[in-house]
Amino acid sequence: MMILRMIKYLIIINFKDFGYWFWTLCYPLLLCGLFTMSTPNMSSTEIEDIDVGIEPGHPVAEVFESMDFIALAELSESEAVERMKDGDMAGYIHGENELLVTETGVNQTIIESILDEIKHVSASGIPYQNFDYDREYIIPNSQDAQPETILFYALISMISIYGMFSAIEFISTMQPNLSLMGARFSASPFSKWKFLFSSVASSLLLNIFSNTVVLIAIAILYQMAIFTELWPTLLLIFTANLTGIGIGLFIGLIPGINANIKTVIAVILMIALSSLAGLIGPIIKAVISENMPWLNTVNPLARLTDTMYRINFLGNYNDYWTTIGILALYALLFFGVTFFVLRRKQYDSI
Amino acid sequence: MIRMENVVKRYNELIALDHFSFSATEGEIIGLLGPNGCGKTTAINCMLSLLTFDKGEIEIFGQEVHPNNNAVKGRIGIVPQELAIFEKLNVYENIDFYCGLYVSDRKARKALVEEAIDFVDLAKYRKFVPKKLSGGLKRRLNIACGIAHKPSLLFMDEPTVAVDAQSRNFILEGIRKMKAQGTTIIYTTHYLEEAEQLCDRMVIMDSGRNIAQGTVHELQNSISTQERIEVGLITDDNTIEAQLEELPHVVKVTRRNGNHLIHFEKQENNLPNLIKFIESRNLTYTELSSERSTLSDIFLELTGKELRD
Repeated sequence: MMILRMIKYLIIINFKDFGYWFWTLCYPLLLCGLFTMSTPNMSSTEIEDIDVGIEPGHPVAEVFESMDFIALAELSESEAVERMKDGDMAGYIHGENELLVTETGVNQTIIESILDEIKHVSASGIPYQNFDYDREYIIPNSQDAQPETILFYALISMISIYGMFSAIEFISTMQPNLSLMGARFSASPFSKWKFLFSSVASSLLLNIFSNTVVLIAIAILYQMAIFTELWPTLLLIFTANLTGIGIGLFIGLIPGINANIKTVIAVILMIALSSLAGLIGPIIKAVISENMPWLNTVNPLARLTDTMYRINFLGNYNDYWTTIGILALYALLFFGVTFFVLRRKQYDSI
Repeated sequence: MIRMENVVKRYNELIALDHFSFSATEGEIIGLLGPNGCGKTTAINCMLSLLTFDKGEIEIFGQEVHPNNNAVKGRIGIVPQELAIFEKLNVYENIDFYCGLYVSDRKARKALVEEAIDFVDLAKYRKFVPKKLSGGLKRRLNIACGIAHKPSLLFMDEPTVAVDAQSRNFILEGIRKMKAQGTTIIYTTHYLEEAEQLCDRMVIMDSGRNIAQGTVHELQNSISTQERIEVGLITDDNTIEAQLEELPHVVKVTRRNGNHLIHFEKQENNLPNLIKFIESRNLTYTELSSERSTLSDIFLELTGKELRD
């Protein structure tokens, strides 16, 4: 009961804070509005064709022809290269299901993803011609094949880790060397683990609430259907929330600096992670994929963005559980460090 | 109730507590006095097990203090010098929040919160958030947050700083009531008159050491300058001040409001000697009063500095 009461008050404290409403709700919705204005076709339900070239007589032509969003053309490699250079074609399929591209981007990723599926099906010994790729493997969702979609997934990724800010505030409040309330808490018999649990639970509830409002607003206000795989996406967002709170607790534990500076550190970190995840434009993702692919693996927001994009846009679940695992691992790591540091903590000076 | 024995606390090279010892028994109000930086708050934080210390022993309620001793912590209250209240919670919620750190039963807590609100006379402000309260009312709220769970031992760190006279009297009256209910109070203040009025015993600290302790009377007896007599003499004699200085046991003579203020060493017959002096010279006096050394004098003599240095 004490924990529930504590959670209630921590939530009330945040709910009465203008900053909470602005940064977790207004700001992402404003950003979303700006993205929508800058990418006017995003809310269209028309499917934009991806121009794909293919070697004449290639066996997978049949599969690609069956897909509504693919405009397939049989032509030679040299012709295809010319068209790709002119920007009229996304990729060229030849040889053993090889993909030739002259640039990287979302369309190229889609084609590669389809080819991967074909390879997987072939490897399993099942004739790939017998599969309904539209239904089973490649789900052509009702949205554009525009790389700008990444902006929205990156935005959702960013707000998924917003819990870090309330976590920083809570962990700072409970430390007597950082706040007067902390002295009162520490001098009381209320266990710090109960307080920590209450803090995590309140941060999680607050952020899940604001995330839900933003997702609903995106769907209703901006008429965007970017979440075709709702429940798997929500599980991703939930796990990312835990990661965000874990990061917040970790930053909140940094000794010798006050809560405001910690918040600044968190803001910088969040901007850096979400920018690298594609919030400042999909081009950054292409650059990172090409030059520093490891960065996409270690950046939880990049993983989250990519996985949300893949499951919702491409129907590709290949790295879904890996992403959940990595996000959960980050959360566990940060929670573990917090537990270790706070265990029997007393201060040399306060 | 509290036993602090030879506690040493260092902040790198600085010794904040230098073999500091003191004790308090149940129902006492102990004044912890000393200039800024003398180690009062450090001593309190060590007692609250918020700070580690390098040497010595601290026992509260007969038990050694450590961060996980919740049985001890549950009987302690703390009223910090700075306001430790939530700006987003109203008066009732703030008190309920802190009381809830100690009392889990909802019904019991509700009754305690109501009692605390009445105690600090904030009933008509119960729905107000702190920013709508005056400085004095905020102080009362700060106190209510520390006492709502009815602690047996209460640490009050300068609770009347920046408080108007009305609120100060209200707070002091409340502290007396708590003492009457059996609460032991460790009280730090800069206001020596307040300490004189309120505290049963005082511990005077300087540079992390306990340099004197006892009742005001005991402290007065422990210093050499014990008595001051103020006399208003009608005379044209310019040498009268020098003559007064010649009296037995006079330390110095100063002027106050046109009168002579004579500082005597501890003696039984200072006043008779002065009266004898006045009569022998046929002097007329308009005013004659004797006053004991104040806590401020004691402090000055013991530490060589004013409390607010």
